[in-house]
Amino acid sequence: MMAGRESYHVELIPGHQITRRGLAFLISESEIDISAKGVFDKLSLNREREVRTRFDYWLDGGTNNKWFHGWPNYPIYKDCFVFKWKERKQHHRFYGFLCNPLSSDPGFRLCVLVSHAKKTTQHTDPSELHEVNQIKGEYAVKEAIRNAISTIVPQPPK
Amino acid sequence: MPHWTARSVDDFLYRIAADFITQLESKMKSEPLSKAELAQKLGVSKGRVSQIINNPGNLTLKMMIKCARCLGMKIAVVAYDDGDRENERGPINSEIFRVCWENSGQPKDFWALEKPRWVASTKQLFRFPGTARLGQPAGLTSQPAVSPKDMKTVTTLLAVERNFPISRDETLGASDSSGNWSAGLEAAWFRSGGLVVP
Repeated sequence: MMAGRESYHVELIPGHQITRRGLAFLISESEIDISAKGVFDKLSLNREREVRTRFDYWLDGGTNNKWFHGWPNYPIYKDCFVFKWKERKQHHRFYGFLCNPLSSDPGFRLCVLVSHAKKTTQHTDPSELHEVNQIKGEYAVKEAIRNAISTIVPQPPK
Repeated sequence: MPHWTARSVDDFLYRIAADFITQLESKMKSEPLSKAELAQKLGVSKGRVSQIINNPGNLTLKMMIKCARCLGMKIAVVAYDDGDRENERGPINSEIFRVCWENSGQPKDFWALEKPRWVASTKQLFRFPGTARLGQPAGLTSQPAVSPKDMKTVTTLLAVERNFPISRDETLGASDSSGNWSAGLEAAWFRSGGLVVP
């Protein structure tokens, strides 16, 4: 998963309001494992609506473990996060990580989606979280996040 | 940047129908009522129920009413103006409206909106002895009354009517709990997080 520092790019997901929380994709031209954005862009219209509805629910401060969750009780995975949906009897996952990148608003949480996984059981493969953790710690990723959020100013809540 | 539901009416419809399905599933879980049982009540197959739940974009208002009624629930179609003309923020989740209605003591008619009641915000305690004295801050009579319009800005409203017996005192001022509401009692009320009547 290691890559050169210039190969990462973070893109805020368009079409969602940024208030107390924000959502973004991590993009890499060289690493195929960083696949969340590519998969999202190819979702069918209805599936995209379904996933965006789940994004909205999280952005609005909702709780629904069937749709998304973190692992706050596992210290090593405490910043990992997942959005979930089911399609043709397969469980789909967008794995990512949470961070607080705005020094002007320390409470603001950004979820950076990294990878996509498809499986037949609900069980989480720890290697997915391990990879997300590894990516999160990379300097180039932190730099990409800083660049992406430098232009945003969170809007007041609804 | 507009919200994704600004792209088309179908996008907007999907989102609000999905919010409705979330409420429906939550009720099914609390009842509890299985998909098969709901299917039986609706007179459709279990597959059709799965289809409704998994693809809310095709839901009609008629089907929403049918589903809600099967669970003993009702539906309101609420139009609201949140000042977001260009739909940059997306729709407000229907669950938020439900919770607000419940927190307001579940008013059933327009008279219920005018009943004397104690309403608290996170910052101030107001009493509502009807429209004539609407918004007079309790125990703080020297402060200016808050107009009904300004009350819209008060967030996190807690209707004390449902939770606290004092609110049912329609002869405001006649009882110890409301008439002799003192600064000390108010402080205790706030210390308790507004959840216990001193």
